[in-house]
Amino acid sequence: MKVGIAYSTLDDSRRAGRMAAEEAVKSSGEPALTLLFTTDDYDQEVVYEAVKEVIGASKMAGFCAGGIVTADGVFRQGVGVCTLSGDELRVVTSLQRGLSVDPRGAGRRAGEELLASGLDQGTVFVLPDGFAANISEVVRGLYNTMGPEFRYVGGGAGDNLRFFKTYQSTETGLASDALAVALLDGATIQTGIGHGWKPTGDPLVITAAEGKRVFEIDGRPAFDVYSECLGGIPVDKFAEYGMRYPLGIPDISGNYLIRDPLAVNDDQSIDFVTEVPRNAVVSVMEGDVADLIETARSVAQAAAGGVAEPQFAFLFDCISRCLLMGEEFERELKAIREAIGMEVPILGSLTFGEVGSYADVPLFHNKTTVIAVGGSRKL
Amino acid sequence: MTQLTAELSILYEISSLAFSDSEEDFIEEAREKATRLFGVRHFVLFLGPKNKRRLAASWGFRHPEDIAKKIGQS
Repeated sequence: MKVGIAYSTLDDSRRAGRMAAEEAVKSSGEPALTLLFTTDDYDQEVVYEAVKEVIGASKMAGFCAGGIVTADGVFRQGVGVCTLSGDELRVVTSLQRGLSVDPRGAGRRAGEELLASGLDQGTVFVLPDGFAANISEVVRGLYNTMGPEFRYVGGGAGDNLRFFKTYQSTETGLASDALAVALLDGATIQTGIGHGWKPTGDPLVITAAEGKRVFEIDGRPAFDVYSECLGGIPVDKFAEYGMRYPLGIPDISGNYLIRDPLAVNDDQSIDFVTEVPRNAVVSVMEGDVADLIETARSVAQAAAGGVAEPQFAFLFDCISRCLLMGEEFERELKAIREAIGMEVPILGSLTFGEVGSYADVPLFHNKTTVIAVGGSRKL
Repeated sequence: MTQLTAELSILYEISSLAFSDSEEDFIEEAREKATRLFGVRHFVLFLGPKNKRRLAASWGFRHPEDIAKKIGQS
């Protein structure tokens, strides 16, 4: 397998797309799979066409997000391209539109299309619109169709938190409110996941919730309880506190599934980035930057540890971690690169939710770091 | 402490599982909790008396025939 990873931060959409793709293909040769990560301030159609002109018949999956992550740092405007080539690689993709109308169905149809290729193992890159209703359902639909024999990794597309429109693509087209997936077989890929948030205070029960809106916690208005847990906070400071103190839902292994508070409504209910199940027992979580960074390092070590000779790394890192850490986010990236190997090319995206799993079953996470490290499969 | 809290939280959440609007919603909630809390790869629920059981829900099976195979293995 040969790998090419390149990026461009040029303002011009066509030139940026073309430059990144040409640089990547120069290293990999004619690609079997191209992953395209962009940011929302480009003309996505122009970038898409420019990249397609370079990669030829390559299968492709891509999306736009709040920033791209490269070996040289994080860019809030940029086009990143990874190309993988090799006779041993087998790739199939699927693009499902109308994600918000039927999220479970979109996941199921994507899974059916991937399985129709005959591939029965590999890694599925999952790139949904991060704003669409119920991405957890998309992931469920995909997993329930394909099963645990595959590895699932990815993140939600975003637009620098403008909450307007995101884009997803495969070689068949470019769409919004869609799901792009690519199944890659023939490479060894190991994934890691973690966040570094820790529970604080007493557990709370989500007593009334519907979808992404939590109405009551412990039988009382959600904001009142959340505010009390933090010693009393003004509504107009909610965004700031929400970023620093998400909720976490434990699993039997003690891993916490993070749910990111987004906004308070007039009725004191709280909207979250992702669905919060009714009757879930949650904790308010806290984290300091050092813990978040060290966890990212551990995640990278776990991913790199499963690959004898890492050739590439993909990072799906929540945009809110980047916003929270500010300039310290570069330290997180450095820790990840040190753990994987500074010489290993890396490409990542600041995502709006992350797809990954602590065991076998993928879930949709918030405020989390997901890393995939890949290399050639040993025969 | 974290592990103990997690286990107690899960016990509470399981015990709160109750029939809500429909059988379908109930099964969906049970499946969601089983996969999220325990990370179960496969989930099958049969309903009815012993000789008339019907498959009410399954999870993580690529083909329906895999269900019988998996049950046979366990």
